[in-house]
Amino acid sequence: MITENNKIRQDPTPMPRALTRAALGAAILASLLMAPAALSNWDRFLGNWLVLFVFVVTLGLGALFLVALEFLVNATWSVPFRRISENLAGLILISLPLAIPILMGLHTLYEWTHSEAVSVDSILRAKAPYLNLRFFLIRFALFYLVWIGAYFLFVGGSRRQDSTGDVGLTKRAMKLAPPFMILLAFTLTFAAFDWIMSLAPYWYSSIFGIYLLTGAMVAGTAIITFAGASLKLKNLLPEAVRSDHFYNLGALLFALNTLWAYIAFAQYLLIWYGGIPVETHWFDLRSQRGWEWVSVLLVLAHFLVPFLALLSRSAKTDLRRLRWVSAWILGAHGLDLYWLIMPSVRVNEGPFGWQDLCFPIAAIALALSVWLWQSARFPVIAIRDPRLQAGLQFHL
Amino acid sequence: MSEKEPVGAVVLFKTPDDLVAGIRRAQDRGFTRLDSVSPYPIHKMDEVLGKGPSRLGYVAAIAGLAGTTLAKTAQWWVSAVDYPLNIGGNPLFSYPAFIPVTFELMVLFSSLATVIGMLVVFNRLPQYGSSLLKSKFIRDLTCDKYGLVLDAADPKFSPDTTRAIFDGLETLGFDLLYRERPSPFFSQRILSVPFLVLLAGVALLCSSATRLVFRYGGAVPPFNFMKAQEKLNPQHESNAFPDKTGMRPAVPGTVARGLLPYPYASDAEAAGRDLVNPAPVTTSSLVRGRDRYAIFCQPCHGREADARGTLTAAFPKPPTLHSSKARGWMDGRIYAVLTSGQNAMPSYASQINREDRWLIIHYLRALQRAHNAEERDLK
Repeated sequence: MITENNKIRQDPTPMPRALTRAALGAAILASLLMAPAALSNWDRFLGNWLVLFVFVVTLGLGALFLVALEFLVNATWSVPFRRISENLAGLILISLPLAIPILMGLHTLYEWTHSEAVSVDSILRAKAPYLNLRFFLIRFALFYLVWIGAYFLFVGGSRRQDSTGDVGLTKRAMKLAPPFMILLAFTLTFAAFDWIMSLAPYWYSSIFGIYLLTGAMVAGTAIITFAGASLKLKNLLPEAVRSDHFYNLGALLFALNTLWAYIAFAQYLLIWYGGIPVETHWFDLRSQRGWEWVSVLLVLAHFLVPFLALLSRSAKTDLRRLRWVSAWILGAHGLDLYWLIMPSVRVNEGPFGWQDLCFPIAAIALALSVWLWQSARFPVIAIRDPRLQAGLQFHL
Repeated sequence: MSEKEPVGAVVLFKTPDDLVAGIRRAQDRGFTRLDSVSPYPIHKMDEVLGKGPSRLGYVAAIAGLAGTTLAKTAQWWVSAVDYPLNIGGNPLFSYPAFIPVTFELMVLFSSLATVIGMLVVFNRLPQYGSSLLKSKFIRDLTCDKYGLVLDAADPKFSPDTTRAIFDGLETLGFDLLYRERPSPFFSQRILSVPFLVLLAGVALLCSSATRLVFRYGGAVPPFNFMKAQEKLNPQHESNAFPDKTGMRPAVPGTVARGLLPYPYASDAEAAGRDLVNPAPVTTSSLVRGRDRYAIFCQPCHGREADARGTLTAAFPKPPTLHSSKARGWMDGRIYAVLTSGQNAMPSYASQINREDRWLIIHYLRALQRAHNAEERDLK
């Protein structure tokens, strides 16, 4: 009924030069601001670095999650977007060197690494079989083994298919997707426990793992929506990628963001209802010294604004709207991590110091560089995926 | 029937592409009231027909907002106004606690309204018939052909000339549609008198048969002997009193059996001056005091009364009871603390009876003496 122009570039699409300049500028600005921030308050700097590190990890894993989701449910609509997800999943690789300052500053960030504090505290002593330095590092290595292994299996296989056109690679990815999803859920759950929850070692919340997991899914979907909508607005995607595809992306973003709100509220409600000081203490820290405004802002920014902005049907096909809402959600995800981490690291300090400013800029620089680095080497579409034709012809 | 005015016409096509060509032709000639009939949904047909997005979303949104409002109002009325209940010391109007119910009601209202709205408002169901069902093409249209339906209300429509506009296209036929009944909803066949009489007869038969079986057929009534007693249950209404309250407040000045008036609730110092520990100091009374202490006091005050209780992580830490202040207090003064509470400590009058309170004080004295032993105690 509708004739389509399915001519697709077989070589990497050149990205606008302005992006390279923006990435370079952001990187220079961030590094200029980082030096005084590190000198003025090293502990706060480390806390911010942890926020940046988890932000980059969750973006990369969120993107890899979308890749695996497509193979898991054999979705065709997302095939034209998969290469974008694959390119951005490269953030996992860049997150590994980012972890070096964290691993060197473990003693500053985590109270349970202080053996003299553990020896006099019965609660920390009881948690020591899990929360000890050696096991922490073993788990850290395991997480990265799973993530980087999955990255090369999924992304590497898809890129090899560009030249070979081997259908077996798609079949292999479909077999790998279910175990990877289970492993992803476990690794990210324990990573959330290790890296964020153990900042306040008395406090625990069994839903915390899924909280970070949904945060990662939302952030991954948001950055892919942002990249996809920007590419489409610049006419760098094939003609056949239409509003039908973007509708699905927007609906997924809407659903995942609402799921995040559901999980976040479930955690709050149970702790509020229980009213046990050991648990409420964590929220109490986030209700004083200016953090109460960050808490309110988080509800507005991470739930209410995206919910209303994406609620209507037309919003999900409006590329400009999708672009600003996904950028907004990325910012809200960063704010979420900041809110999770910072009050536990710097108990006596308020939010939003000038020392924090360089980190959002650094995140933009990192994401842009990974995007430019990856998309310079591979076409913007998985050109020889056996389901690409079905994906391009997708109708609502 | 043929004298009736037609309500529309249907044009039959062999393929969806022919149908689209037919729609385009009709649109070129200025027709606006068009619809398509096909055995299965055809993607993008709404776009070709120029139909805007469905307005069903507004029904869902309005119903969802109504559910939200109702839930919030109802919970506020029940929990904060009509029957205020203190739950764990939370505010009566507690926002977090009300959100789950609000969410559920929003989902319930909007989903019901969406389904009912779709069926009743937008699809105009239930209908007992459609003029299309009487068309000679209905068998084809539900099997393997595609139809374009033209509405007679369209200003361009005319029963005689409309057929001609499809000349040159791949059509399989043209048929005029006629209204079958004046009103499709209240069909005479359904609401006829014999049918209503039959309905009433069946209802009468069923209810009288049930009544007869339960009244005379020896049926055993349901097991409710304990519930159905001739007595007033708590919180039930009674007509015996002018205020209709079944549960009566005590007459002023009433003293419950076994209860002594305690006039020192607001003056603990007077209790210290006036009250004397009436319990004798014996081995068995100290053992009883020790057990009561272990049950009620030890969690906070600790086994040795030195404030090292197991609950101190979660509750405020009490002061030690070996201070010179606590040791210098008369028994009656400590009794006042147990009875009325002090600072973070609540009253234990309802949990520990009068005699046990005095026995706990004896045991506390023993603890205090053990901690601050003098030389003569060691002999």
